[in-house]
Amino acid sequence: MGTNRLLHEMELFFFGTISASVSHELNNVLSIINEYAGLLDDLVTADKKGIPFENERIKKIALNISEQIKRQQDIIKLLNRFAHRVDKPVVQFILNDLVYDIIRLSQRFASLKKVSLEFTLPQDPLNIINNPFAVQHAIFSCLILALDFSNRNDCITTLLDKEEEQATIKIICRPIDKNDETEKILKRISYITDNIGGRINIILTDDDSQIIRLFIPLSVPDHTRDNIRDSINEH
Amino acid sequence: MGDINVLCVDDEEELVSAWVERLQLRGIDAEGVTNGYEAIQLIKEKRFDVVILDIKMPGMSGFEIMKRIKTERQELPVILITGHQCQDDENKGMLAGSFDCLVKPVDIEVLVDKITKAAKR
Repeated sequence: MGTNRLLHEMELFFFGTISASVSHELNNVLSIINEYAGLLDDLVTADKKGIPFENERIKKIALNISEQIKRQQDIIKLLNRFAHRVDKPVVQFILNDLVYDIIRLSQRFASLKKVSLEFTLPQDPLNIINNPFAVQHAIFSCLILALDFSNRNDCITTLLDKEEEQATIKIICRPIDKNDETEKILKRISYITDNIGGRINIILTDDDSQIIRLFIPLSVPDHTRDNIRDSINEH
Repeated sequence: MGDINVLCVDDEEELVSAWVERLQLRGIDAEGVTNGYEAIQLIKEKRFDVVILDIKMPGMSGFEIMKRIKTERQELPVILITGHQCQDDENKGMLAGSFDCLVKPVDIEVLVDKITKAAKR
């Protein structure tokens, strides 16, 4: 299979994975609202049978429903921003916002493993010109790799910084076993980073943690822009 | 209160508390917890007739919890709850150990019917 074809399949899989996760969370929110609506109906029915409800109880349920609607709005905004990152192959964007969004979208995967995701973003916005969909794909792939080797109650920390003419995203996690499967995953992440003029490497720290480092150019080189457009046009 | 004791397990705390309250209004004794560890501990301490259990939960999945429940009390019926469809290939084998499987959002009357049937089994 050609690299562009493989990249396209990986991107589709990534898009599907995030969509499935978000739909699961939205379904949970709807289920809660459904139960609260049912509970209000139950309380009215009970009242008619002579079991009066307390106004405070109703106010609390109404407040809970509005909190769930706010939660749902936040999830939808997040999904909307994620989906719109496919709109243009190369565009200027604030990397801080993208890193924040993709960590939030990864939160459900981390929660299922009881792992927490922490992050530190620079105060100043880090503007870059690149393919936003590919950048979020690369970060997500690294986070999932880190999660695969995490234990319950671990914490994975993501740091965003600027070093000369590139942005660096460091993911500090438990060491990754070097085996055929992880080599394959790392090679696939390299396909993503190569395609946007970036690179990935992994270093061990003194405290036996590991840092997955993603380097993304602040401005994607011209020949890479052409590659990005070509790979998109092929599909 | 009621003749049937139900344990509801889901990581969404508000969902659990709403289920508990609605079941209680229908004369069913219900308690809720938000993780598998608490669920297994409670099952060791108290007598429940039915367990309502979400499949996708942080830490210990619903399937893993059901396996442990069955080790403690093999006869205890478990009604699984899922956000997706019940009958996919991934779940098929594990569903065999459950009394039934329902898809969220759950209709409370359907849930009560399943609980009643499971408790009578």
